[in-house]
Order: sequence, then C-alpha cells, then structure tokens
Amino acid sequence: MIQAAYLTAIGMGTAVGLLLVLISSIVITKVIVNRLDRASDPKTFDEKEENIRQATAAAVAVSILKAKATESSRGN
Amino acid sequence: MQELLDFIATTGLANLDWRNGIMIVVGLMFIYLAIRNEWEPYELLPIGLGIVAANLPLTGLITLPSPSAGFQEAGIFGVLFHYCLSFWNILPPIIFLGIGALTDFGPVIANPKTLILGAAAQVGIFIAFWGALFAGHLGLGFGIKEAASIGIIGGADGPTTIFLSARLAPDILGVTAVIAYSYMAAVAFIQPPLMKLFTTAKERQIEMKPPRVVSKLEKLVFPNVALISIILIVPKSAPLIAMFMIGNLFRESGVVPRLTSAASNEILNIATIFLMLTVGTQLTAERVFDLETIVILCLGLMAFSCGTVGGLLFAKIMNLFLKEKINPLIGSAGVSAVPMAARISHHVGQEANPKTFLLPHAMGPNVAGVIGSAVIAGVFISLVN
Repeated sequence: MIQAAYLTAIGMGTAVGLLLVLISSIVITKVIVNRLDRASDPKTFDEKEENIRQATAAAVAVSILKAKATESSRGN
Repeated sequence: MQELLDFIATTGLANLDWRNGIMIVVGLMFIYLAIRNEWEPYELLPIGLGIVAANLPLTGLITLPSPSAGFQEAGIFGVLFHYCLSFWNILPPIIFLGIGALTDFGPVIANPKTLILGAAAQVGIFIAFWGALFAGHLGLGFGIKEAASIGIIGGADGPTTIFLSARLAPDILGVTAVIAYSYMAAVAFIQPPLMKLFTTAKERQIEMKPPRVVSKLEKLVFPNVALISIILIVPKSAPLIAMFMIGNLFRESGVVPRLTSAASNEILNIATIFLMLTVGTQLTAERVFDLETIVILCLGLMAFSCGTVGGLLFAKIMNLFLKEKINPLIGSAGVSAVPMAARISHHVGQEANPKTFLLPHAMGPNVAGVIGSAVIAGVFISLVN
C-alpha cells in the first residue's frame, strides 16, 4: 500500500512537473522568438513609418527621374 | 466410414465451442460496425478480423513460439504477439514514430496552458490502479504490477498500454491491449454522455479564439526540449518519447519529406495492420469468459471515464481563474486516444454551438495526454519493475 501511494504521488507529480517544464519552455521560446523578430525588424512604429515614407519618396523620385529622362530623349 | 468420422473429428466445426461461437459473432459485429457505420474502421476492422480468426478452432494461429512446443508449431499471430508485442515490444515505439510524424504541436505551443488538462486526465490511471489493487486484495490475483498495467488503460493509449504491460505483467498483456483499444474505438459512445453530464449547456457553447500562428523555430525547439527533459527525468519512457519526438522532428524539420511520409504512412500503416490484427487475436473465448478479464474490463471503463471527467472538471476549475474562458469540453481530450478524443470534443462542442471550432484547441490536451501517459508508464517501469 505504501509503495502504491508513493507510485501515485511520484507518477502524478512527475507528469504534472514535466508538463509544467514544457509549458515553461514554450513560454521562454516564445519570448526569444519575439526578441529575435524585433531585432531583425524595425523596433518602433515611428521607425516603420519612417521607412515607409522613405520608400515612397524613393519610388516617387525614381519615377520623376525616369519621366525627365524620357522627356530629354524625346527632345534629342 | 471410420476415416470419414476421423476427418469430421479434425474439422473446426466438430471442435467449435459455444463460447467461440459468441466471440465470432462479436468479431463480426466489430466488422459490421467498421464497414457499415465507419466507426474507427482502422481499429475495429482488423481487431474484428483478428477475433474471428483466433476463435476458429484448431487453426494454431495464436500458438506462441516456445522451445517445448517446437518453434515450427508457432502460428503467425503467436509469433507476431511474442516478438512484436510481448518479448521485443517493438510495435508500440514504431506506432509512436508514426504518430509523432502526424502530430502538429502548433496548437499546444499556441496555447500551452491546455497541456495541464492532459495531466489532469491522467487521474483515471491512478483510480483504476487503486481499484485493481483493491480487487487484488479481494483475491483476484492482481499485484502491484498487474494494477499498474490495468491502470494505464485509463491513459487511453493502446501502444503505451502494450508497452507497460509487456514489461510488468505479460500474462495480462493480451487482455489489457484488447481492452485499451476497444475503449479507444468506443470513445464516441463513452465520452459524450459524460461530457454532457459534467458540463452545462452554457459552458459547452463557449467559443475560443483561433490559436495564434506558431513560428517554425518554436515548432523545432519544442520536441527537442521535450525529448531531452522527459528522458532525463524518466529514462524508462525513452522508447516511446524518443520515437514520438523523432517522428515529429522529421515533420517539422521540413528537410526529410520522404522520411516523414514513410513514418506517417507506410510504416504506421504496416505497424497498425500487425498490431490491430494481433490485438484482435488475443480476444479468445478462453480469455474473455474469465472473471479477471471481466474485472479488468470494468476497471478499464472506470479508468477511461474518470480520466474524461478529470479533464472536464479541471478545465472548469481553470475557468475560475482565467480571464479568457476555455471550453471545458477540450478537457476530455486529455485522455489521449489521438485524435478521436479531440474530434469528440469538437463534435460535442458543435452540437451545442455550431460556431465553436474546438478541434485545434482539443489537440493540446490530446497530445499532452499522450506525453503524460508515456511518462507515467516510464515511472511505473522505473519503480515497480
């Protein structure tokens, strides 16, 4: 009976304990993955906005330059 | 004339016992349910065929290989039972490899708290364990090894039941294996009434948000962490846990699609054919019409039911503390029986509220149940053997 009681306590305790370890590992991995994502991506909303603005400005500038180049070639 | 009488005496018909007749009818019922109603056909059909084959008299199909009887006398199912289940015990880990290759840990990683439900549902194992010990005290010949083998039926995991019984109580391996698989096949009948009894209509209608998208890195880290941590703590569970996680790493790595496909299709299918047929052949009239078998059958049902209720009640307890409520129906999936128990949670949830989609959420406790029962089997082997 004592052995059975120990088995019950150790068996249930080990199962719960290991699943808690797995839950912790999932949470830790999630935190690490989020940090890695942030490190590779722009960090703030303002920075993202700035990037978008710069990209738009670059696209507009290239379009204007292309249009000017076409006009000048026509002129020749 | 004497020759004719001798021939008649050698036919199966002349040696057919009424108990064999009943078992053949049971086997035919399994086959009927599998084909006509498509109830777990991958289990019921081969088990039913195995029952019919094993109960036909004088076939020798289930004769075990032994030096005294002469190895040549062994029947095919006797050989399969001895080497694949009882002696070398290789089929359960192979089945786990295939299940691992089919398992998506995404829902578990997305909602890790559901893992605890898998642990809660293991309570059935210990209730049946104590029930078997009590029956042993009443004179039924169940010691602590047999009690552990009977209790693990509550994990509702056929391969784990076979794995543990083969190590601790090979004498009752055939019975525990058949009962575990029979209850797994009957999950659609056993669980829904309990689920409705222990939850309110309002609770069953709870909708859960779709799980978040899980990154590949997370899916790769989880099986590695599980493999190392579980085997470091419970090395005796290694054959099951290692194969399960290896199969899953094949899948999640994405670089070995042929190995993933082989593990989850060909290897799993071949193992399933031999396992289910062999399990079915253990359901012979001599075994079934026996008091110990009937008691194990009742204890197994008790274990399975208690596991289901344990998961449901723990989910309800969790809801007392959670801001975002979970549907308690997913708790019943903690009894393993992958993926049938998760499907039952989903169907019962949809009956209550067609908008609920519980399948991905129920896979969390379902997978946790597989891990939990394998861990407990490892603990039993470590401490009892």
